[in-house]
Amino acid sequence: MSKALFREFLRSIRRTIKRYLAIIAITGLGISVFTGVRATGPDMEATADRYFNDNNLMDIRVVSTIGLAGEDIDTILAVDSVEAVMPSKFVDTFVEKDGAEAVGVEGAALVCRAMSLDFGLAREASAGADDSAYMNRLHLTEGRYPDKPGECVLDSSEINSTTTFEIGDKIKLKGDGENLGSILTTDVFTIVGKVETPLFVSYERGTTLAGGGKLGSFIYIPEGAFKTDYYSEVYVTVKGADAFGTFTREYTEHIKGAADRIQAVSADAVSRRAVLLAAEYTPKIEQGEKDYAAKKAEVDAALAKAQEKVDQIIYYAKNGEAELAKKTAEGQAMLDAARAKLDAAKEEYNTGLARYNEGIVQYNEGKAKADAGRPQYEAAVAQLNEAAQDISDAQERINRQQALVDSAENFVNSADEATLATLIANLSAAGYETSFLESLPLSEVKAVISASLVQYRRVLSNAQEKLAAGIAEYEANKKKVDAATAEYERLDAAKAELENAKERLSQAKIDIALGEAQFQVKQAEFEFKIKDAQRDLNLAVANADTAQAEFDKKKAEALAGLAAARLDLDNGKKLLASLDTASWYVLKRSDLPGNADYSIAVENMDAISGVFPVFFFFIAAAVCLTTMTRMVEEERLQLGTLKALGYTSRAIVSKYIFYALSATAFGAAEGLILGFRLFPRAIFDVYSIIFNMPPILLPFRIGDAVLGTLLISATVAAAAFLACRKELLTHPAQLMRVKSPKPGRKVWLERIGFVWNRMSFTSKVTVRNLFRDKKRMAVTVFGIAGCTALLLSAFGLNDSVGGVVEKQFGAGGVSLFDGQIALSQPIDAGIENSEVLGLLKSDVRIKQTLPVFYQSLDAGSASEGSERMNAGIVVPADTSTVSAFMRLENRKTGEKYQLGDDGVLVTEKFAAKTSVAPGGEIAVDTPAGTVKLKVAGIVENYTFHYIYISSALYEKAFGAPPRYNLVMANLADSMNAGSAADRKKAAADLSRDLMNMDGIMAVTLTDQLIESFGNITGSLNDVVFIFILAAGALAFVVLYNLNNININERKRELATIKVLGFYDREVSSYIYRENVFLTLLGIAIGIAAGIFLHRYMVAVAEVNIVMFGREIKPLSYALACAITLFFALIVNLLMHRSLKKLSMVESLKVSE
Amino acid sequence: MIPFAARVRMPITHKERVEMSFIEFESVYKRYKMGEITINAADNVSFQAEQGEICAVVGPSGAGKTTVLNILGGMDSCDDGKVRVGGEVISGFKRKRLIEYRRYDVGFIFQFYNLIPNLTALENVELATQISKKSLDAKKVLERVGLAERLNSFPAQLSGGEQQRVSIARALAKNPKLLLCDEPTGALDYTTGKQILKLLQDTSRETGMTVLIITHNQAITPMANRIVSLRSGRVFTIAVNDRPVSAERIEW
Repeated sequence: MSKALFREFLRSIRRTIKRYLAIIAITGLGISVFTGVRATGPDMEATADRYFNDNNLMDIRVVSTIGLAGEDIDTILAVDSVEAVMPSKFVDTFVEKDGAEAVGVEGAALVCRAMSLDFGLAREASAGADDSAYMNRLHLTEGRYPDKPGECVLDSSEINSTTTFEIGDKIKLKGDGENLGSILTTDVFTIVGKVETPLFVSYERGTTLAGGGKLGSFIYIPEGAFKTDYYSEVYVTVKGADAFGTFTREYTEHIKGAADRIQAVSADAVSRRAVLLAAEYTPKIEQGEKDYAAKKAEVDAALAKAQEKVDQIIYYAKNGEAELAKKTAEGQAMLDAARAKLDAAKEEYNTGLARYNEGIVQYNEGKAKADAGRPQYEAAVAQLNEAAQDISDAQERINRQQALVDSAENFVNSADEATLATLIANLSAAGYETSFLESLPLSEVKAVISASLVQYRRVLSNAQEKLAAGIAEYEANKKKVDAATAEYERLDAAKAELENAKERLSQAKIDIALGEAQFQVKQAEFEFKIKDAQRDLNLAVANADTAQAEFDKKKAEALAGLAAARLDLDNGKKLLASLDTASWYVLKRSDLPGNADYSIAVENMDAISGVFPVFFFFIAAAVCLTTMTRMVEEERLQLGTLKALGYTSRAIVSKYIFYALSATAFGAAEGLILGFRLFPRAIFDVYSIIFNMPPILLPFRIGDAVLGTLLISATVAAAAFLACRKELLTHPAQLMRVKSPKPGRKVWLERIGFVWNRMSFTSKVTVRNLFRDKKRMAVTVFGIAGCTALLLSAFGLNDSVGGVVEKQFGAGGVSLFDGQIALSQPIDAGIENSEVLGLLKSDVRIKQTLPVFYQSLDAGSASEGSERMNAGIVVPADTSTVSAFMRLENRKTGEKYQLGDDGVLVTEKFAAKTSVAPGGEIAVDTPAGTVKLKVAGIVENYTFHYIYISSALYEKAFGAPPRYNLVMANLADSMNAGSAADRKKAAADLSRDLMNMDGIMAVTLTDQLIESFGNITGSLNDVVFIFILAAGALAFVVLYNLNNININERKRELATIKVLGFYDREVSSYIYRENVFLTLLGIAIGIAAGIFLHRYMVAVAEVNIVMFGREIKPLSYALACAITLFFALIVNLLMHRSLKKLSMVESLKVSE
Repeated sequence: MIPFAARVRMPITHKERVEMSFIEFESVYKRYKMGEITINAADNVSFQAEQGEICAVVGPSGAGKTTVLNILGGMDSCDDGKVRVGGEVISGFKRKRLIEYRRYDVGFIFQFYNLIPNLTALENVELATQISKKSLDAKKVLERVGLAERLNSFPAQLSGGEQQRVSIARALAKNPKLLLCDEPTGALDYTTGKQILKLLQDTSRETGMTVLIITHNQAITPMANRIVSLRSGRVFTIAVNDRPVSAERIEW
């Protein structure tokens, strides 16, 4: 190229910078999608591989049903091509934190695996050592490694439990049907750090025999924490395995040899160990049972006694209260009575005292009075006494007188001597002289006496009168004196009484004081007694509570000890029972949970990358072609001039090729950098929601880079060349003339007068414009169709992948069973006799069961050396009920199959890959040789490959009856009731209960499968979204570019109609109508193309084990159209803006 | 649409002046800045033209004729000064109003016809009649310009003169107040050119339409009522022609 031409070239870049940038953009986009997407799968593989190699992930893991002894480990190490071994012990347990059981995300108790590790190795590795015996190396994300047996490091992922665990937390492990006391030295661990391990690359942790069967989390504890003397598992690395990528076929084959050899030595090792265990355990168990029985009797007796005591206390506690109350009431009543009495006595005393005091006062008054009258009184008394004497004298005299009288009367009467004697006596007594009488005669005497009688009577009556008076007086005086005496006596009496009273009162006072004191004492005594009694009662009540509680605690302890011993015994027995069927499981990396998922993800990416970017690529190339063509057309004048000047065609063409290629170079550079970095990382980020991997490696893949660059360069160069060619074949003179605008031509539609004449003017204009430049029309439609097709196939792929789960497990799906239950021992004794089956049938939550023999074998087409795939042989015990568990139908013909004895049913993908049709044959590899089977039908299926055989046919073909090792189950309707949380809980409960049953090894409920699958496809959604963005960007660039070209080509025309006075929107509509039509047409074609593209992508992208659904959901169609329209709309808006700015003056300028 | 024949005829003599001229350019400036240099494409241009006149704007290349036409046609704005058409100050019009002005009041005829190559002659004219309120019948206008036989031909199938006649028909069909012609005969030969000029003149006389013709061909000027001569963006002379010559008799 001459210097001038080169300079022109540089300037033309500046001049048409928009176009140059457009080419850079579109080539960059094409290359970055191409290389980026193609690199993603390999990058993901490389990342995983490097992670596995750096951390020395095991190649093989051997687990024994009866544990591995030290010599088993040595045996394995001695196997050919084994590089190193790392034995380990583990136990699966529940976890408690702060007294509460940790719960996994499905609502069941969290199951944690405690694995042993020599942390010295871990520390050395951190310091840089590379010991091949340290496998599955840990990466410490937080904290430190354990120093002592009571410490542990925990899984750093937080997804698997609703409980959060922090460094410093203490956790307690609880066994599920295991006595941890005989496995670990301690069951309490302090979390000192958090780790990641290459064993678990996703949140999936695999299965376990504990709990509900799903392993949730893991911890690593020092080896010293394990008491057991055998190993649970051993990790093995194989020589030379590092050289192969984990997901490659070569790796699988390389490992297979070592795995097979290990499996081969297992039989001997197992039987050796079985013998040793039998010898060790049988006597132990015998003795143990005896000891247990004895201990149990002891414990039971002691417990019974203690319980009695406790019952007593409780009884007392209950009833003592009432009794105490009664006694208290009684005592209180008595005290009250005594009190009342005392109070009454006090009252009386007070009254008495008051009266006494009153009496004293009165007495003193009286005494004073009496003392004052005493002398008078005494005088009176003396008088009285005299009087009395007088009276008595008088009385005497009277008496004498009387006697005299009487005797006188008598004498008179009688006149006898006797009477006379008396008379004389009396006369003398009366004081009369009697002497003379003696001398007298009697008659005289009588006379004298009779005469004196009157006197005598008179004296008597006088005396009597006097006496009476005197007596009266005396009486009166006596009365008085008596009264006074009485008074005095009363006074004295009163005094005496008062003194009495005083005495009495003081006595009473003393009595009362005494009584009071006594009462106080009694009351105090009473209260004290009651308090005592109450306290005793309270104590008893309190004790009663704690007594029971304490008893229960001690009982629990005692029983726990017994239970632990029982567990050990039972487990020992189980172990002995399992010795016959003991075996080793030789597992590989592909068996690790999460690995299979990862490899599926990688395969998905690889598949998509084969199709998607290439399509993208071609559209990008087409756009380049159009752009370059336009450019060449614009510069035809220049071309002509150069030609006229004598430049060769080659020189001229080279400028355009150079233009295009230089733009492509920039585009490629930018595209490669972005592509290798952007796409893999973006897609990987989406996957890292589920996968736990180190950051993705982004190596520059020279192969793809060169391929992509070459492809796009070739395309662009070809485009440039083609664009130039036509012009260069023309004469220079013609080139220099203004290109005559394309002649207007009748459109074929015009010939249909019927339609043409009815069209509006604007429609006619639009049609004419459309057909004027068929090439442009084609490219626009192609671009839009491409975008729509890409969108539709991207959405459709999404639907298909997601649809797998629906179609396989959803309502109306292929797998109708609700769960699969793996048995620990096959049912050999006949289905009727199977205990396990009976248990399952009797559970109300299970509606229907179907025992099945399942075995995974390699199978392929019957032709020689055909490719083998892993397929599952399924032999149902009863062919009549199979249809309730699996839908055996042909997808295309709808034929429903009954599993008969004349042939097998194979799944669709398997049939497709082996190209077998009903009536044909397939081959199945067994350890005993290859078996050929006739195919009776092809059934619809989406996940894995299956071969369904009836039991009769199986026996005939394989020479042995099937040993049913799996039970398909349909759950009762009650399991579907309630909210989602209820269903989950019911499912978790069922799982746990089933796992606890004897004879059941694993439980998989279909809902769980759907959920975990859903997570994978969910992330695929996000990946598809990235593609959708790219497709949209593509549509935008195509439309924008082509519109610009369109407008530029018709500048003059557009300016003319502007001059004519078309409004801005009318001017836009002029172009717009064409765009709308082309867009709609493009979308229509794109939908059709998209359907085919989708079908093709699905067929190619399908991974080996899965058959994607073939349908696209209506929503996807709608979205694909909507997004395309959206971008078209944006372009129209931008175009409107640029049309508004179109200058009439500039556009109509004539080259003068 | 008003039938062609019913159009009112207006007398056109330069003596009859209306109060305001139909077209008025008043100190119009159009400046272009190129870095530090400013070029005045129109430099204080002032002139008038009456309704019904044929006004010729002449001058050598770069004199500013096209600039004047563009401003008058509402395709460009002036930087200073006023432009009145029919009493309205179009230099003050906003964008939308300018579009309306072009739509209803102005008919344009280009040197290179600027027909839509994709449309037939009839469709090209219909393009204009569709948007004008008071447009004439497209077919009739085409017949009027003598293209009755060529209605369904595409521009590529027409000769230069026929194309220009379609262009004229398109402009006329809009029934505008003002007809602007940019070198209408520039791409045509002598005979054809004269035919076109005659057509323009007849139209002006019969319909009273004001016609402004830009040309660098001085020989045309006799047919015009007014001749505005521009040089380097300035008005050089304005001449009024009392006796315009019939286009048939012009020679160049």
